[in-house]
Amino acid sequence: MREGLTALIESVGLSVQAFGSGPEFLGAYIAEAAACVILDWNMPGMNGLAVLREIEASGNNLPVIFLSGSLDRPATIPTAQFLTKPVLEDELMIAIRQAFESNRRARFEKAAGIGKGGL
Amino acid sequence: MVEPLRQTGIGMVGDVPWGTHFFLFHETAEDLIDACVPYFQAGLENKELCIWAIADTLSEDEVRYCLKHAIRGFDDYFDSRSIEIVRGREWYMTGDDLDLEKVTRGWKQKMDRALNGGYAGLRLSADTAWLDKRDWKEFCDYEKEVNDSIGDSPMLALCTYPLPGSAAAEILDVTRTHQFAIARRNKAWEMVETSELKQAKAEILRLNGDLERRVVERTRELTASNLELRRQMSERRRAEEALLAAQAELARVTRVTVVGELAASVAHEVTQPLTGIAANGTACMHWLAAAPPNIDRARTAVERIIRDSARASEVIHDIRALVKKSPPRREPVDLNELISRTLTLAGSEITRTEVELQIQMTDGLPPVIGDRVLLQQVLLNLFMNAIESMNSVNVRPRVLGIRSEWLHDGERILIAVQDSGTGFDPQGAARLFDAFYTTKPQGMGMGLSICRNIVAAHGGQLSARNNPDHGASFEFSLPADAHAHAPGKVEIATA
Repeated sequence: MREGLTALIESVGLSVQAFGSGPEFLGAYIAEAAACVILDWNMPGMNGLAVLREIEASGNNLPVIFLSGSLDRPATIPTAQFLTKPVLEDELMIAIRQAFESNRRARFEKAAGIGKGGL
Repeated sequence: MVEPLRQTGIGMVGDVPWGTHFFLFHETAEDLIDACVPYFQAGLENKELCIWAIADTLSEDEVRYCLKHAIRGFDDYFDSRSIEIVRGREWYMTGDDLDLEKVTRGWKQKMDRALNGGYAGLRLSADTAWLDKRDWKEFCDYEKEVNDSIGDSPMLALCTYPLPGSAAAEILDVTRTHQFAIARRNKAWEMVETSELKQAKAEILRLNGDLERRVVERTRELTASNLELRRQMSERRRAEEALLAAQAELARVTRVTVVGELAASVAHEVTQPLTGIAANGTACMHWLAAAPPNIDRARTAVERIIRDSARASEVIHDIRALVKKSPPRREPVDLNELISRTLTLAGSEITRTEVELQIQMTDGLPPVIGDRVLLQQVLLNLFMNAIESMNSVNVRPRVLGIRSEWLHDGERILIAVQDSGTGFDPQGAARLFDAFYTTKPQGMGMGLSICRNIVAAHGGQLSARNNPDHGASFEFSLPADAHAHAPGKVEIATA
């Protein structure tokens, strides 16, 4: 699945980097470089929610898209988008576009000193 | 042992047992020859020592002529003294007196010669026409004695006497002192039976009839009980078949229940490759639509589609096999592979419940012979029980350990499933495998009971114990397929 999504995103001309687990991603990612993160909700070792908490704890509000199974759909988290597997191209692209949008706004707000960071 | 009957050679008499003492009344010397020649022929041909004490009316030459004429190889019999011809008068008398002591001695001597000479027995015929009336009483007593004692020895005795001139009293005496008599009158043979013989024959007839009736009755009884037995056997067979079918159905229902519990996990295991397929398919379209088309990347995407389809098919195949009705099978089953496939089914459940797997499978294990679906049911049950028992554990890692190994004798394969859960109540240990015994609120209590039966049907025993620290271990060993090869190295992998 990871390979498939990587290929799909690359095939529309976006740059993507894949990781095998939450800790792997957290150890490698540089918040500034990414515009959006796609997380599996159900992962061995550290699940998607725990990864989100870590990202938030690091003070970064990188937009998150969760992928979940139809039967293990978690409670809605307002700051994240949810897609149910199997994911179709259209919904994934819409979600990524929205994520980019919110990321751009966040960066802008941060740069302008507005928002959570505050004055 | 029953001695075979002896042929008398006399048609009307037929075959008789040893110890037969009978009498012949004859009208003429010709009658005597007619009876005695075939009588001795039968004796000689059956290796009996033959003695003929002849009547005054016959000469030895006459007798020998008749015998030689009728019996092939008679001269050899005569020269080897297999047949002796003596004059009756000389045999029985000393001077003018009846000498029965001499006669008794004489017969004994002949009998000894018969037995020591390799003969089957002694066959004699004696004519008593010479007997003086004054000796009649004494002779009758002697004959009676012979008649009473002959039954014990391998001897046939045919006494002959001319019918003309015989008084009724003499005839009565003769028939009384012999087992039976035959008489030639007006060219026809007749049998004169004693009343004892008649009674004995009638009794035998009655007994035969009775026996026959009882045989028929008993046969009827046996036929009836045989039918009843067959009916019971087929009824029992039907009942056993019904029981087996019910057990199989119960096992299937339990499997379906477990599969139901796994629905989320199974859906996930199918959804993962499906997501991959959809994504790779879309990517492939994009690579092909690009200018110029990126064929290499498109090919890679299609290869992944094929791989993911196979993976989804495996899961669906396993689930279908677990759920559908199918007759039990006996085929080689690779337990390591079966463990991996079963972990795939439960994979998402293991991830969701944050269970850590510690897998220690011995490489190159030979297969076991059995039913793959039933064995998978056992593994699935043990895995699910282990996962469930760790649900409430938050203070230590939830670890599911799975081990496969050769037992020391190399003839069996051990599978052990270990968890770090709450273990089982030692009080309930004895009932752990009982049907309807459960500690789960929604449990049916059939899982372990069925698992134990399945393992037993495969030649093993499922056992359980609490670990020294935490949780429980379940173990069973199955006979390795005899046609398999030697053990391989131990490989430890942790996922």
